[in-house]
Order: sequence, then C-alpha cells, then structure tokens
Amino acid sequence: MSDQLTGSLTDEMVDIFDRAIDKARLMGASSVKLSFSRHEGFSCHFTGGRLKSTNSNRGMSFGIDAIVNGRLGSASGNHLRDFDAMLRRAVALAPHGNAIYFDQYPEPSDDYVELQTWSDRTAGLPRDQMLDACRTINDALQGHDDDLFVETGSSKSISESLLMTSGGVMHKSRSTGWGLHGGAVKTTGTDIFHAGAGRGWKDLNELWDPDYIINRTVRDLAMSETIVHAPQGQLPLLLDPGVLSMFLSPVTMGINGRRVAQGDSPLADRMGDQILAPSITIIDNPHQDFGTAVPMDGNGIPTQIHRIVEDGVLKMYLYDLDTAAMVGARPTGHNGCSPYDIQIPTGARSHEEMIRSLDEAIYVRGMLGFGQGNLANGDFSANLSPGYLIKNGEIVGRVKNTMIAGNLFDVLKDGVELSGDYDPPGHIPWALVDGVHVSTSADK
Amino acid sequence: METQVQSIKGLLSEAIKRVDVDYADVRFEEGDATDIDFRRDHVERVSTSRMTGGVVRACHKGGWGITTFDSLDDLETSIAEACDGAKLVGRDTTELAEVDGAPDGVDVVVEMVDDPRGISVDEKIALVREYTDVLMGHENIVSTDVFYIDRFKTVHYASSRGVSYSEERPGCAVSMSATSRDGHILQSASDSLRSRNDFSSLLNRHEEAHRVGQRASDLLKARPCPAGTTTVVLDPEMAGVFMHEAFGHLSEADHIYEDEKLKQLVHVGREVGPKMLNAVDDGTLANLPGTQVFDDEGTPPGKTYLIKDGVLVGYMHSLETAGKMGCTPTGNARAGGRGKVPLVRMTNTLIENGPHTKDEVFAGIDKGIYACGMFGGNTQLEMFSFSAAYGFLIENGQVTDMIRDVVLAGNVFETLYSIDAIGNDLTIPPRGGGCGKGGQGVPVSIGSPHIRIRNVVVGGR
Repeated sequence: MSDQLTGSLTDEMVDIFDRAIDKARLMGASSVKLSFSRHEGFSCHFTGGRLKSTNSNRGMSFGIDAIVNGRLGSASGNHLRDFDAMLRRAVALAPHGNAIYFDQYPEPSDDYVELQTWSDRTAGLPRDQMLDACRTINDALQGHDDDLFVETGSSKSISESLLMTSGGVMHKSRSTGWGLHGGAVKTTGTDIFHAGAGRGWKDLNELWDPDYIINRTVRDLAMSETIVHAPQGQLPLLLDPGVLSMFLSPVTMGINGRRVAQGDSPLADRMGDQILAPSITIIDNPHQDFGTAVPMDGNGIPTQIHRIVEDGVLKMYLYDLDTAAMVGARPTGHNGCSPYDIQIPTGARSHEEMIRSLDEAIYVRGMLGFGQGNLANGDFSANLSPGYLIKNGEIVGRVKNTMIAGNLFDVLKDGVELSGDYDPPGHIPWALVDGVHVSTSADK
Repeated sequence: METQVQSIKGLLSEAIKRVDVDYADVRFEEGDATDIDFRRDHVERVSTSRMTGGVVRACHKGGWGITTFDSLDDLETSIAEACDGAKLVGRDTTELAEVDGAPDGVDVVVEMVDDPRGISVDEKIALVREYTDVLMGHENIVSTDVFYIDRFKTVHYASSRGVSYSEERPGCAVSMSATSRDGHILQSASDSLRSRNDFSSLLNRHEEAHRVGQRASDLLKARPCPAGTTTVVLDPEMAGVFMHEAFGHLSEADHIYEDEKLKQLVHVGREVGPKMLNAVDDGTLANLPGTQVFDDEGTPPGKTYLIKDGVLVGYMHSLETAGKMGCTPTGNARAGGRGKVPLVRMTNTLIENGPHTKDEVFAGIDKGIYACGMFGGNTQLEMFSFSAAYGFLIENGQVTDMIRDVVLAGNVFETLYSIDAIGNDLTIPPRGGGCGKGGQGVPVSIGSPHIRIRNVVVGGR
C-alpha cells in the first residue's frame, strides 16, 4: 500500500456520474443521487507474542438513488462494469419503492464547514512503525506476566469519496485513518479474563501511544486479580464513558425523527420535557477535525453542531431530508435521522475523586448482553463484563456472574453526577448513578 | 462449452497454483440481492445490489499474508501481495491439516423449487403487506417492520493444493416484527421465515405472523422478570442458544490452539456436565441455515461431538487449528461474506435428546422461570449472557404468568453442571439465526429439547 490511493478515480467518477444523471432523467427519473467510495488499507496482527498475519485490502462501492413519479428505487454495486446496469435497475425499481415527501434533492448550500480528514502523516505511516508499536505492547504485557496470552494489532487506511446529486451537489473528499489496539487474556482456573484497549484517529498525533494501551491493560489486569462477591440490591454505579454512552442509547434511538413520526419512539411527545437529569447535556458534533468530520449529510444538507438535550431537557428530533418533508420540519442534516458523535459536557470531580468518595458501589467497565434488552423502552438487563466492587473509596476486586437491571430513563432521570474528565479522544465523562438493581449468584 | 462458473473457478485455480509459498487459497464471491422493507402501511425502502469480491490467503513458514479485493482484474496482484506478506511474517513452520474428500473441481448447483429471481417485485411487496396486515390487526400494535430479502450468491474457491469448487448459496427470508405501545411503554416481538430455494415456502404463513402480533400485544401486560438466582427451564430454542453461546464458542479451536493456559482448561476428556448431556455441531443436516456443502477452505462439513456423556470430546476446526492440534479438519472454517477470511464457526449446534419427558422437566419446580424463544446472546469465553423473547413464571410445576425482559447470565462451567433434566423433545427451529464473531456474521441453526438448569443468575428488578 502506498501513501496515496493508486490513481484517483473521483475525477473519472464525476464524468460518469454527470452522464448517469442525464441518462437517468432520460429513463424517467426526476431526481438522482449518486455516491462512490474507494479505499485501500493495511493491517498487521500479532497473536501469542508473534506476528501472525498482514492484511492488505482494497475496495470500492457505489450507490444509486433514483426518484420516478415521487417514488424511490435504490441500487448498489462495487464494480464499475455493473454501473449502467445498476442505474437501470434503480430506475426500474423506483415505481415499486417508497413514496418520498420531497420534490428534488436540494441545491448546494453556502453553509458547508471545511473539515480536515486527510493527514499526510497517517498516509505515510510506515509499516515498520506499526509493527514496532505492536511489538512494544506485546513485550510490555508479556514482561508484566508471562502467563498472559497477548494479542495486538494495527491498521491504516486511505480513502476517497464522491457525492453528486441532480440538485447540483458535488462533494469530493479523501480521508486517512489509523488504529492501534492490544490486549491480553489471563486464564486462572475456570476464570478467563480479557483486558485490553485501542484507539484510532485520522491524524497521526499524540493519540498514537502504545503506552496508553499497555498502562490501561496492566491496570485492568491488576484490578481484576481479586474476585469478590457483589452485594445484591440497589447500589450506586460508576459508569465508564463507554457504558454511559450505551446507557444513553434509548435517547439516541428515541430522537430519531422517523421513529417519532412513525410512533415507535418513547420520546414521541416529549419535546421540551425533562427526560434526563439536569446535569446531562447532549451535543451532537460532526465537526471535529480528524475525528467525526462530516460537512454534509448523504443528501447534501449541511451538518451542524446541535444541542439535542440541554440540562436534561429534550430540545430536538433529528431529521433527514425525506422525514423532515414528511412532518413539515427543517432537515437537520442527519443521515437516517441518527446522531453523528455524541459529546457530553463534564461535571466537577474527576472519576478518581468520585471513586474515593464512595462507601459501596459497583464500577461498570463493560457489559455483556446489554443490547438484548428492550432498549427502545429503556429496559435493560446486562451481565457485568467487567465490573468492580468499590468499598470505602477503593476498588477492592472484580465481581462475576453479576447482573444489573433497570429502566434507563428512570436511572438517568435524577441524581446523575458526571465526572470532570474524559478519556480522549472521546468527549463523554464517567457518570455516577443510583437506583440500579444488582443481582448476583447466591452461592458465590 | 465452459460456463462462467467454470471459467472463474479455472481462473482462480490457474493463478493460485503458481505461488511460491507453502500454501495459498483464493475465494471469490458474486452475489445479487433484493431487499424490501415494509413499515406499517408503506414501503420504506426497495433496493437491489450486485457485489463481487474475494480474498487471497497465503501461508509461509506459519505466517499469513491476506489480501482482499473486489475485481478479478486485481487477482494476480492480490495473490502476489498476499505471498509477499506471508514471507514477511513467516518465521516458523506451516502446519495445515490435509483434508479427506476435498473437492476437485466440483460445481454445486442448487435446484430451485420456486426461484425468487422469477418473482416480481409487486408479488414480494404483496407478501410483506399481507403479513403486515396480520400484525397490525392485533391490539395496541403501533408499528410493524416486515423485511423481505433474497440473495443469490456463488462462491468460487481454489487452493494451491489443487482443491477447487464452486457452490451456489441462495436464500430468501421474511422477518417480521411488531411493536405495541401503551402510553410510554413499548414492547416488541419478532420472528422470521427462511428458505434456501423456495419462495413459495414463505407464502401462507399467517399463523406465524399472528403469533408475533399476539405476543407483542401480550408483552404489554407481562410483568418484568424478577431478579435473582433461580431454577430455569429453557425451551428448545432458548436451550439451543444457550449451548451455542455458552459452550459452542468455547469449543471453536481458534480460541484455544495457541493459548496454552486455555488449552489446559478446555481439554478433551474434561468432565463439563452431567452424564446425560450430549452436544454436537452437525453441518451435515440438510436444508438448515448453517449447512454448506463445503466450508470456506474446501472441507466437507462433518458431525462433531463437542460433549459426549458429559465429557468434552472435541473441538471445531479449520485447517490450521487442526494442523497445529494434530486433529482432523471438521468443516467449520466459514467466512461471513466476500473479502472475509474464514474463522472457526459453528454450523448447526444441538443438544441431543435426554432421558426426561417434557412434563418431568417441569415437575418439582416450586418457583422458577420458563424462558422461551430467542432474542439474542453474547459470550466472552467462559462468561455468557442470553435473552429470551418472552417467558413465564413456573409455580408448583405449572407454567403461569407471562414475563418479559428475561436475561440469563453465568459461567459456562458452573452452569453446565447445573443442568439436572434434559427432555426427549429435540426441536430444531427451521429459521435458524445469525452468529457474529470477529466482525463477521454467518447463518447458523440451533436446537435442543427442553432442559432444566438450577441456580441461574437472572437479571431483573
């Protein structure tokens, strides 16, 4: 894999798409949207302390949306040889497709924000540096405990994309990305514990840090060495940022404007209501250079930074072009009516200060089976994986066969304290919540 | 005259036999699909796709180089890159098991009973509209999602050992879900119909649609599952998911073969459950979603006992895990689509019949939970969590009130030992399900008789 894509196809695709829009119109389409993307990538994977495999990948795909007499047909493929045939299929399908509520794809906007998605440093990331980082993590973890089964990996990718509509939008972009992860499995008797961490970003900056992965894995292994019995009943929970993000999933699903319009969102008639604790403000930010960096949605509508929930009060639903037209609202620039990247402003104390202040609580680092609950309703029930017992201000050990259950809207309604720190590059703090039922194996 | 299938297979075979590494194979897939999403009273989306793609794997001195690609135009380059990668990586010995009965140019053609490709889009939409009407006819149903999909995929495979085949893997399915609402309370239920080669088998299945609509409606009145440690009876679908999640994944040899500590824990000969417990992964069962004629390394699937008389007796293998562990490949190397490398995966995983009648399984339970239907499951090796679509309380041996949000968790070694009754009513739900691992999904089937487990941790309030 080179530092650049093997020849750029976007200029060629602009010509193909220009002609396709004309062809589709001749076939009877009133409006057309065309998208294209292509990527190349390289990754390496170490297992059990040795380099196991390298993987080179390349691929492309295109998508076609054609509107005929107010109905939409869609087709996709990944071989340019098939493009004309798929265009014909999309137009032929359209009369059977969904009735759309907008007339035309919109004209280009003046409000697109310029965002950085390409990093020469990432594109030029040498394979040796990727391999060395993995070896560093591997050696450190194996040095920490030679009983560990260690796995590490690294990846980088470069890509280009194009969006064109019959409304006149023509957006070319290119992007880079890297990933670095590592972890270890510790088997003791019938206990099999996995610890690990990973990061990824578009720019090769300070986030590329093998020490972060080593330190986090070693810390988790140390915290997990002692297995303790969890108390049953209602206990305070300290939620890791990733866990808080999962706890907020009924909200991020419920603000979907299409679900609201179709009646299967629990937030359908809650606009302006206090749906979460006043400590929680939820911001959707698609404008982060080298992170979630999306200047427009899939229809050419400019994206914006939105405050979806402010001080716990629901402020908006998310609309794509069609749903907005359906309900008579303005499109908010959200593909599929879903948020891009949730950020939550912090509280005051660091999560470590919060731990020191707790007499008895469970620290939830991860959950197994969380998504199997009736999340739309807010009901959840999950096995802690892993979870830790906090006693007298200290983490005293790992709990096993322990489930937490409750209703997420109830749990997040009152008394939620957010930490004053983040785990970069995320912008979600730790959270202290109450009122969650903990159940555990009675005989342990 | 050479067909297109033979031509692609021949192209792959010719290209892969020239490699200068210990081993290489290439798999190329072509697939056409149609999707129809029908919500409540309207078509939400109709789409079609045509995708091609492949993956080359080269192995040299035990190291792997892997290349994925979309177009056969990139075949030669991709093979060369994979071989270069393998040579860069390899420092050891290549140990890949040999396969008895590997295909030598076989073309597997599926005889279509009622080919979905010959059915008009209007007819397919009419079908999903019919089931939607049935679902919407139930009390308190506020939204429905009936999804139709058909796929016609052809897999072409060749290896440097001279193994080659092409296999058609068609399928069509309808999944239906209904959401009920009472104030801010939402509940949902779902089910699916599936066929490999017969669109007509998806017709006239209103009874299944009725059951989904009725269950979504009933769940509004159901109580949340009580929390605690209790006796649980699993219905055949739920018990099948339990075996899949709790023990099946642990028996996939790619977790084990390089981790000495884990190998010591999950060793053949270890007693893992009661003597009446027998579990098997059987890729030879006809017309089930987990069945393929060849796995994605060209190995014919087999019937592999995982647990016999309560003792761990075998693992599921790929060429590499079998080679490294001195075993025979079991036909469990499966890839979740074009451009994906095969991983060790289950096919159709079953608990075999035990000594008890269904009534005996329930007998003597003063207080417990009857967990029914599959909602989902997750595992992290020895820990598992899985949820029922719905459930009932058991009181004095009788099934009583309906409950919802039934999620069970535990440690596999402790839970298998806690099985104390296995029914003799083995059932394999024909619709199967999907299994995810390493970012790849493959169709699988599960099945079991009713089973009873003591001291299961149940989440709830």
